[in-house]
Amino acid sequence: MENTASGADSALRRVLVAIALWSLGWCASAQGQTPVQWLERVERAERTVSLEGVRVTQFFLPTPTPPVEEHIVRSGVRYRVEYLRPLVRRGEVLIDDGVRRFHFLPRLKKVDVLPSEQPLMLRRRQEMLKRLHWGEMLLEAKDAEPVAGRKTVLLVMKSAQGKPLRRWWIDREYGVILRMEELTPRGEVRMRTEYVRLTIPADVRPDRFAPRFPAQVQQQNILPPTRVFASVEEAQVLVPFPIRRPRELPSGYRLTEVRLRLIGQRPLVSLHYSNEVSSIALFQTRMPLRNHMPLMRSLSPLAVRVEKWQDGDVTLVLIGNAPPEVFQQIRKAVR
Amino acid sequence: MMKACREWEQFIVEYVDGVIEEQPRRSLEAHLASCTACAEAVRVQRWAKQAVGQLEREPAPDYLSRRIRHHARGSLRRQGAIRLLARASFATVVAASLLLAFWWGNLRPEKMSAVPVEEPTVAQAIVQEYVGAMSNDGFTDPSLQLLAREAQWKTLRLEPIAP
Repeated sequence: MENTASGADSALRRVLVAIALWSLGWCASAQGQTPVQWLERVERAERTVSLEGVRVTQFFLPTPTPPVEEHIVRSGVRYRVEYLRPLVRRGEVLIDDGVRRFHFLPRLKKVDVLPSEQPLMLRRRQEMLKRLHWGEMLLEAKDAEPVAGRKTVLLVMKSAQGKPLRRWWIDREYGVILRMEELTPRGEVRMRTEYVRLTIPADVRPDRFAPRFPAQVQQQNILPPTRVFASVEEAQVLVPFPIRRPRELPSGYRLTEVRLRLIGQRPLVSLHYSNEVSSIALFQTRMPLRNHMPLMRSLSPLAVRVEKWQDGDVTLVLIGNAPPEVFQQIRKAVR
Repeated sequence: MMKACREWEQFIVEYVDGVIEEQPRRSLEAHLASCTACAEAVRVQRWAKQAVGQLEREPAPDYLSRRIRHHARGSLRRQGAIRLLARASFATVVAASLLLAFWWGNLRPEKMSAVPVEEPTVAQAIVQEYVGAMSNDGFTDPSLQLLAREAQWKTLRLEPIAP
């Protein structure tokens, strides 16, 4: 009897020690935060942190581009970016104050003024966090090597099927993204951006974000050609024909956005679907599209399928990199 | 014609001068194949360059040459006058060149602004919209958005009509 009790005690002790060790390890590896909490911290940092540094960005696929070096000053949502490399764009400045975006092109002696896209970015970040909470995407956190001399945590975002989509190296202290990699469905790095020098927090004067440019520079207000909606219903009120949509979607796919663009006052509507790994877009317009071969040639580097058909006076075009069976499923479900 | 013609102006000057970099040169040549206005601007620029070149090689008038030779045989004081005359003739050539450049520079924008702004074709707009909606998770800052779009335009060999 006594032996049985002491055996149970010993087993309980072992379980408690194991729990304690696991908790200690968890706390030590990710400072006691879950991966989603880390990403929430990144989201807060996107809106609040002040920093100054030099960042290098390069695109590798589908076509490699020369690295771009930028001097970045940031205070919350306000950005000032001065391009240092390549030489052809040295002197270019991009200022985004959260409301407007100014793009100064000294070679052309002009400044393009556009609405800031940061409200749209904020909405997309919040949608992503919701999907992570619901388990529609996976997120892992682990210790990683320093970036720009700062300690990091590596966050890997994966699709529900476990395919890696993004890698973020996060500053442990401030939650700032120090390095980011965007991956293809095959796991190749499509794009990498990383800080090579960084001061954080930085003492940034507000006038760094003032849109001051040389006097002889011409400012051009540019309206974005496209409006982005979250639902078909929002776009429908501006479109004179019924927007076609699939009756049902393949498993895992969702509507990410609805885009409306006017070409000569005539609408081109597109519904964009994604399962995070693949994407499909359904375009529709009353404008004629007699030959879609130029379209296929232009999109060939992206290895997408293109299918065009007519429904009454509306031309529909389906474009996407989803597997053929998913592509056909959506094509048949469109009404 | 995808890129606004005004944006090609700087490249056209570099192109005619033969100092344009490889990548913009290829893009510009592709653009020139389809844009008669810019092709015309290149032709005018070449003509102007040639005209200015001819001005620089303009021989001095006979009477001026005679006077210069006459004075060259004279005293040191006269040699000073020759130098003055030579400078004056050089200044005349430079002023004429500047006048020509100014005249041409004033004409050129009118030629360019006469070109109507083209709408994209439906196919081009479809490509732009497809690319515009791709790979954006909200964690890309304004500069990354700009660079990503530029990389896509280069890959797809389509110039953006608007950002």
